[in-house]
Amino acid sequence: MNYFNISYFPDYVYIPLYYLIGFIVVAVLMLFVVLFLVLLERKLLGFFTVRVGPNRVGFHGALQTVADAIKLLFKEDIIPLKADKLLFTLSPILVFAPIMTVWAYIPFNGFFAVQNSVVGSLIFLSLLSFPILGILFAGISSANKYSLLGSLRACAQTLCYELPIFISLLSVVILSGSLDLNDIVSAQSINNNCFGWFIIPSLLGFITFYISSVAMMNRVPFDFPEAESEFVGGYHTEYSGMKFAMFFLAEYASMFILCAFMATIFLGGFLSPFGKYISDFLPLSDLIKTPLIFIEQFFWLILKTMVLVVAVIWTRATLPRLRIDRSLEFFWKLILPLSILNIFIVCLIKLFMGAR
Amino acid sequence: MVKFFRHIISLIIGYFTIGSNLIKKPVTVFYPEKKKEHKNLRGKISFAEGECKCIACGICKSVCPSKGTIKITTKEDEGSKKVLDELSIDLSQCIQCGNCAENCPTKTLIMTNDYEYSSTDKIDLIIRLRR
Ligand code: SF4
Ligand code: SF4
Repeated sequence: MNYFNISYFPDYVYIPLYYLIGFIVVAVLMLFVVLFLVLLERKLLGFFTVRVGPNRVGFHGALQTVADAIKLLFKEDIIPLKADKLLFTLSPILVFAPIMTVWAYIPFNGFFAVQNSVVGSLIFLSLLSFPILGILFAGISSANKYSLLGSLRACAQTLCYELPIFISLLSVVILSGSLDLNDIVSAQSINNNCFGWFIIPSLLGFITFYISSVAMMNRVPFDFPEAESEFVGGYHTEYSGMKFAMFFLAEYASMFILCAFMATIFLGGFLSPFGKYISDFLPLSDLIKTPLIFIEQFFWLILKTMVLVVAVIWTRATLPRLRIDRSLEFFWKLILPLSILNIFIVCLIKLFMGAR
Repeated sequence: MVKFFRHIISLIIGYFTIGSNLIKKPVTVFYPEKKKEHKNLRGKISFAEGECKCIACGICKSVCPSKGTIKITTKEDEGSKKVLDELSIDLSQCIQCGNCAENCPTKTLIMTNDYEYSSTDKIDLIIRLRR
């Protein structure tokens, strides 16, 4: 961010240019991440079920998702006869756009976040509750009973996971005293190693946040909005081609970005777990070291995110889908009280340990 | 409360059971490159090598569950004996049950290991045996 502030251009060129660069960075990163994640998930699921996963296209199936993407691009775009055309077209965009926007708020390293905001974490989670609107519209406009049921389930689920997620975020806010994601990360660097991370005082919060965000990503075991075995594809039953690809992209993008968010607020974000960066020990001049630290911070964030992503995939391989009423019960009767209990614990820690 | 912890423990056990699959060798067989051979495999029906031993008894036709798959026409030879003229099997109707090969008294019909035949023309799928 600060790097770009040294502007040689007048404002009316600089501001659009800045956002254009940010957009391109986010878009390219997202595309690569999603392509990689889909492959990773299929491969890992293969290994978890004693298979090999995709292995035909490219080296050990490395190009499989690229091939899938090309296939989706060239597919015919079908709109059902009785569908509400405007809403039908609008809903993939409503799902996709907020998820793409939130990528701008993650501080990928200490120097670069496309968009800094004093209330970054709040905006992040608020934007991520937007896609439910798109899911609801998709269900209503498809003129299909499966889609409608899927989107209704999604709405019921939204009510139950949003509350624990915000309350768990609150515990982090209490600990760091700020809603700004950059401040949250720097508040975790106090101990100069991984013991300063907020996962330690707020372990319960991490668990509740993690479970709720699995529900937010619409993934197993809380994937009933799109339960394939119950109603075909849920809210995206009628979608094909590019519109389906947007739902698909959004699902994986939100999976990655929520894990990155969790890594940021609970696992120290871009901080190194050893306090000092590896690049610091290299006998190099400061001129080379600074960009190296950029890359290393980025690497740490991606590593932590990947650990969480693999855990999500592992969950998918392990658990069956919960029944809808059991899941609502689970969230209202267990996760919500736990997250409130976590607030008490965190407050006590803050009170007695002072400037943690 | 005890129940709750028991659930959590079983959850952890489940995770590790699945996780232990990571170090196992995949059970996948890479199909087009490697094929699993089996001695009792029921594949495409075929005729035995060598001279035609069919006596036109019609057992194969009567045991075939897919009616109309086997067609037998007969003729009379010099000694006015009924012999086989043509036996045709329509592979597009055959369900590869193996009844005919099992019941053939002269072992004219056999089952092969070939289970992946296909054709763009239905005529190609009719195999014929002539005397
Ligand atoms: S294998 Fe079965 S279905 Fe096929 S010709 Fe023989 S008896 Fe008929
Ligand atoms: S093929 Fe075998 S069973 Fe069929 S008519 Fe000839 S001898 Fe009889």
